[in-house]
Amino acid sequence: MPEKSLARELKRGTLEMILLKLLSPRPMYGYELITTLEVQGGESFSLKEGTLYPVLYRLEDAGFVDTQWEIHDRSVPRKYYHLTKAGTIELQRLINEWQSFYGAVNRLLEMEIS
Amino acid sequence: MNSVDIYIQEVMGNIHAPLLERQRFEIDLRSHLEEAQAASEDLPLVLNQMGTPIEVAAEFMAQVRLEYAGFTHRHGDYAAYCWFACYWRNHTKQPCTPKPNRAWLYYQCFYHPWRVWLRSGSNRSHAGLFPDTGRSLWPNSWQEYVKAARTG
Repeated sequence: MPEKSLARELKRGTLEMILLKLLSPRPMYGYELITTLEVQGGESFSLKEGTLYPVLYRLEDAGFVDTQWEIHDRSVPRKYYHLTKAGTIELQRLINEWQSFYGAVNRLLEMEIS
Repeated sequence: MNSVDIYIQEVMGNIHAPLLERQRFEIDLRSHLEEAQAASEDLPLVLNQMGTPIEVAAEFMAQVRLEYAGFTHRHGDYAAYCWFACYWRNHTKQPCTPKPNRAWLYYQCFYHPWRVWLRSGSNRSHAGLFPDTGRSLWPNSWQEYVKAARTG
């Protein structure tokens, strides 16, 4: 098994939850999401930037995020992603699921095997 | 054509999806690259951070859902039609030579694709389409049935 496969699988499994969480306080555009992920998540959440958009499309198609193009003071138009009501519910569901899973894994790891 | 155009062309060359989804992705990639370039101005670094065109395309293709085109269902319908045609023609003492009639062609070419489209819900762009070209699956079937109708 490759050395970093667990980290990769965990990142893949939790990325949607993390993105929903990042979008929960305010709308963000793609590049901003990537830089925030890198700053806050460090090495664990560094991902190839081009691979972010398919994940965002999944969330958009599921109705968890909505998009809006905006042009501010600069000429580059930005596509802002913002959380929908369904997205907020999904985020809470994913957080609950993660905490339950995290607790179960910890219990199993701390268990003394006789 | 600059490096960004070449990069996007390489990514899009490996993507087989309906036109609208391709366009959406292309626009987002271009916008992201412009934003990243404006922030760092080092294009090779920006392109390296994006991932290889194959990686990016593979991630995109991983989320493309292919819709069931309903061949089994339609062939089942056709078998039922054949059985009914035989039964009816035997009953009315006519020779049993079932062949698609106009109503059957109409069902196959118009009604059934419409029903698949309705059933496909939010993923309608894929319904009954070849994902790479956006071309309808139905003309193939339609041609088969027309050929069958002509040859008897």
